[in-house]
Amino acid sequence: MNRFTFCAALALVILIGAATALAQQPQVINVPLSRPGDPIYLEISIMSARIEVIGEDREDAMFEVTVSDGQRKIVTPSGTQSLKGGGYSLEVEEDDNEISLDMDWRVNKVVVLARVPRHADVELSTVDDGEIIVSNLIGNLELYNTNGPITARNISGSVIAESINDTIDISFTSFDADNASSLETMNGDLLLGVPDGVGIRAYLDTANGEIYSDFEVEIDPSERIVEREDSEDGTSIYIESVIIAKINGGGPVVRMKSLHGDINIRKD
Amino acid sequence: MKTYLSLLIVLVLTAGISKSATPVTEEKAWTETYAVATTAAHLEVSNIWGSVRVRTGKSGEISVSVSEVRTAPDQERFEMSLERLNLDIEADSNGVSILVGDRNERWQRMDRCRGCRVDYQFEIVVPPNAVVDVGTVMDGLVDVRDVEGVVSASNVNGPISVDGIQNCDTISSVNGGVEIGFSQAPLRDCSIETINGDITLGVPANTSLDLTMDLFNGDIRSEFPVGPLAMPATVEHVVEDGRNQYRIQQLSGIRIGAGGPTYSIASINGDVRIQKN
Repeated sequence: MNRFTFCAALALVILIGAATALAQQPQVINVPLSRPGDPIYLEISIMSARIEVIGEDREDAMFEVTVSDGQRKIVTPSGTQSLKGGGYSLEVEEDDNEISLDMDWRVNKVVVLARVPRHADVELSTVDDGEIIVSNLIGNLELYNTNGPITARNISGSVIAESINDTIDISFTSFDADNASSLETMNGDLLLGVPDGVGIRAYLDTANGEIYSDFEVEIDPSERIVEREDSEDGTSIYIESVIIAKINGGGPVVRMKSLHGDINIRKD
Repeated sequence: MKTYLSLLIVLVLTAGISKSATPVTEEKAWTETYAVATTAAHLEVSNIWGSVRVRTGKSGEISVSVSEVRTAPDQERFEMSLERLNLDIEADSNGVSILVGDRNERWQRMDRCRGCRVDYQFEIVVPPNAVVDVGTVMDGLVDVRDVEGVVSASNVNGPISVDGIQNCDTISSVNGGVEIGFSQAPLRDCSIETINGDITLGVPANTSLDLTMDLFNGDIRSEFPVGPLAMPATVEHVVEDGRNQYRIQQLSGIRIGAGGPTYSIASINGDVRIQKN
């Protein structure tokens, strides 16, 4: 074996070992619905997770959960060893088409892939080292990821998306006329995909970023919003100045607010 | 006359107050010996306040020494406690069962006597091969020594010390440490758990065990070399009040020696130590 072959073999062994250590076999749970064919409500809240929800033509929900090994150690005479398996518990509950997925906080990182009916109201949240990805859903979505990105594709309905330190990228196929959408991040960019010919009324606010649009926009005269609140601790005054931009003649409200990021409205 | 009347009222009120507010305490102690069969006799103790100590002695008898301290906020509730907080003892040739309170409505009776308390300190001597299941709830230690039969022990707000035993079934505490020492390598499965306390497991050097761990916080130390123990995830489906619940659980596992009976160890806030005796 020449030196190159040996190095390649060694690298392969290390890679396989690392992959085995990082991820265990996924667990699959199929959840029948109480009312097959009716819209569902899905709630997933995990401290550190990559959560992907895909809407499909189906009458049940399927969850594929992969948990990485924990960091628990055991001190033995020969040194410190890792405990395989990490130790965790996860619970999925279905009640009258409302599904929740909860997990204890012992695990390092969880990857959840959920395949659900297209008509779904969804609330997803994660905090550390996480990612939220949603696609092909019809409904009202609430997506919260403190330190990671939020991506949604082919959404028909409304989206409330909040992050602190990463990008929010949402593409709509249509907007809910009755429910406004809101995308808000502190340190990331905001990207909004709007189908050609669909009208929205965008409330745009970025302190230190730029605003880009693939569409011609009609700027509405806007008034500064001033709210005053008197309490025992004193008086607080909230001032917000936003740009109100009508696209394709206006329509449902989409609020986009970032402190340090750009706002980008693209034509899908 | 008016002065005398006022004085009389004050005296009556004082008498009333002093009668209702004077705590009543009674202490007594006794020993009873029960004849049991020479085969594995059972001892069950379910205490509320106080310690339970179990030692080994002669075959064919269980000797129970009890020290009782009964207190109540007043005489009326003291009388009530005599009706509602007693020792419920059942004994036959198979063994002895001792419960504080009524066997059927234990906690309801205790709730009805607010402020009453009966501390029982148990010193019990059992045949060496007895099967022991003892527990307490408050202000006590559960202490079992040298029993050859299967031992179960529980405590809620206090420690458990079990030493010189050969096998256990369930050892559980909520707010207290758990120390278990074996005189020989255990042969059957056992569950050991606590919420807030350390777990110390002492076994002979020739022991082979499989240990499953369900732990949150705390360090794990072993004086034995350990090997990995594959623990596949379990999926459980439960229907509760019309709701479908699916639980996936995966535990960590280690193997000592060649593996053997499974000891499941669960702790929330405590260290786990596995020691050589």
